[in-house]
Amino acid sequence: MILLLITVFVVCLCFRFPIAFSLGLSCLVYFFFKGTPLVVVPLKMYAGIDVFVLLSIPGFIIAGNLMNQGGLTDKIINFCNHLLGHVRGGLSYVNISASMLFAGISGTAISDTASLGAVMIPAMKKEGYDSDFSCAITAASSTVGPIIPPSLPMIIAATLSGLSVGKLFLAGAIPGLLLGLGLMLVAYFVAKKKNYPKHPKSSLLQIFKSFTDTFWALLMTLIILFGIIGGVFTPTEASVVAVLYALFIGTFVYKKLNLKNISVVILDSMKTTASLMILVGFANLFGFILITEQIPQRISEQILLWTTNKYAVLLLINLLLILVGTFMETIAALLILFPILLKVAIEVDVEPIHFTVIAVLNLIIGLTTPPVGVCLFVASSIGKTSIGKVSRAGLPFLAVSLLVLALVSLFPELSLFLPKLIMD
Amino acid sequence: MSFKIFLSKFLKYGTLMTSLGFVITVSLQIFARFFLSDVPPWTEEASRILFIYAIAFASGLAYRGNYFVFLEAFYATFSEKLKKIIDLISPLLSLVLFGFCAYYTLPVIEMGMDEYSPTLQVIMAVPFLSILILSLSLSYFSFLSLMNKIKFWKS
Repeated sequence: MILLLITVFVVCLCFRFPIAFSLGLSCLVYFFFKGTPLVVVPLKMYAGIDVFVLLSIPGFIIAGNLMNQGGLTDKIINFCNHLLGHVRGGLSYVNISASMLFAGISGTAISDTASLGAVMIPAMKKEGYDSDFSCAITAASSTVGPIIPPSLPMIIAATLSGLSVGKLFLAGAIPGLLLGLGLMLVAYFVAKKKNYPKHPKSSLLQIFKSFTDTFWALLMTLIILFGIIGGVFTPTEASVVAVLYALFIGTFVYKKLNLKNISVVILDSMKTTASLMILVGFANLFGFILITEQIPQRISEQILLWTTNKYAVLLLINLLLILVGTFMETIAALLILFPILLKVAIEVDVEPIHFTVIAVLNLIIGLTTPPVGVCLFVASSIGKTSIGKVSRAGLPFLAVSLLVLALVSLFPELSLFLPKLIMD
Repeated sequence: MSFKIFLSKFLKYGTLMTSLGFVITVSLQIFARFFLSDVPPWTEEASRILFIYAIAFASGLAYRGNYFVFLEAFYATFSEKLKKIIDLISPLLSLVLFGFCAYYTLPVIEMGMDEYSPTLQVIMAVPFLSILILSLSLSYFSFLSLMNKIKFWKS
């Protein structure tokens, strides 16, 4: 029966049926042939969505979109440009640092690629950067977003594992910074080799002025982060505070929001949330079947039969997750695989928080892994260049990302240091 | 006004009202925590119900706006003829899936008539009704998409 479930799911996926619906339909077929009352489908779907932590997702999405509507992307890029534009290949660093700052607002890699890419790729091309390099660096830098808090994949992982959202947010901070710095190092060597242009140095006053423009937006990230970590707010409350804050800043400070565009932003954000929540609901149903069929236990036993070496198991998991992340959207892959693999990881004494960071890092690296990484597609379509060229230009960035992944996998303290220091 | 426009407007305003209700309820919870002696016990439950309704109202609109993610990699390698067939099957499968969901939500709602939520004391049929709205709106927009694809196929 489990073979039927997996077969229907894979066939639906290959036939471009939405991932959420593929999960739902495969479960429906499974229950139908197993003779289980189909009433379990809406019941389990409802139970999957009715989880208090998940209530934070629409808030974060609405707050991010409201800030973006207030012209935040341009302000962040402007600030980074004044700060780093004078270095050779300055726009490369602007691209990466803007992604790191923007990460705190949007929380997903694909939206980072689309939002920042729309501004950065044409700007870089105009200044003489190669089109494929501009696209590759935009795709690579956008993967920092889902690691640096607040991160949607981390909230989903917290829902699946029962771990603290605050701890997971903190656990992603150092790996996110490492990834950003690693990408900057690659950009430095490429810029030097290709003699990319640099801007005149900005005065302290210019830097300060551009900083004050972005300050209010960046403060939102700090309010969310310290509100949750300090135990002042639950993640759901923090997300609603972020919405109220974004409404206030967008209306009275940036003066870009009015009733009409606020309602458009809310509607758009709720559609995104709905598509995610239906995925979560059906994944709960799928997970229910896997658990009743004891699939996590069987996979865990099988892997442990091959090896009980912690690092060998982590290597196997890393390879699997990168492969899946290449084909599948991060949250969908996380919902399907994370509960199964977490069990395997715990069996070989990997800390659940450490493993969560590894899993999310793997899946987002998959987004820029050729031949089908989704961020590569988005960036290449914005830059109007071939996916093959972007993939080739992205190989050094991919290598550095894999190096960071290896470091994070081998040294748990990179993930666990901040949660232990601040929250234990 | 056609049914399609009426339904779209109903779902749009339903999404906006429930989202607003959700934000207000959680804000009240925060306000009560800091400024009142007690947090009303019903706020968490109310925010959950409003959230699920916001999802239910928005899901049909999300389907119509192509917000659901899918795997493009294999589809891109198929022949044009196969793509055309798949494009026709996809909304049909969605219709089947959510048609079944809608049908099997009815007994769930019936079960919920005798159960009450812990703090708000509303019958559980009320939150379960959201799954029916979600399933019906997705079924309707899948049906419209199927009709469009059939028209396209014939042309």
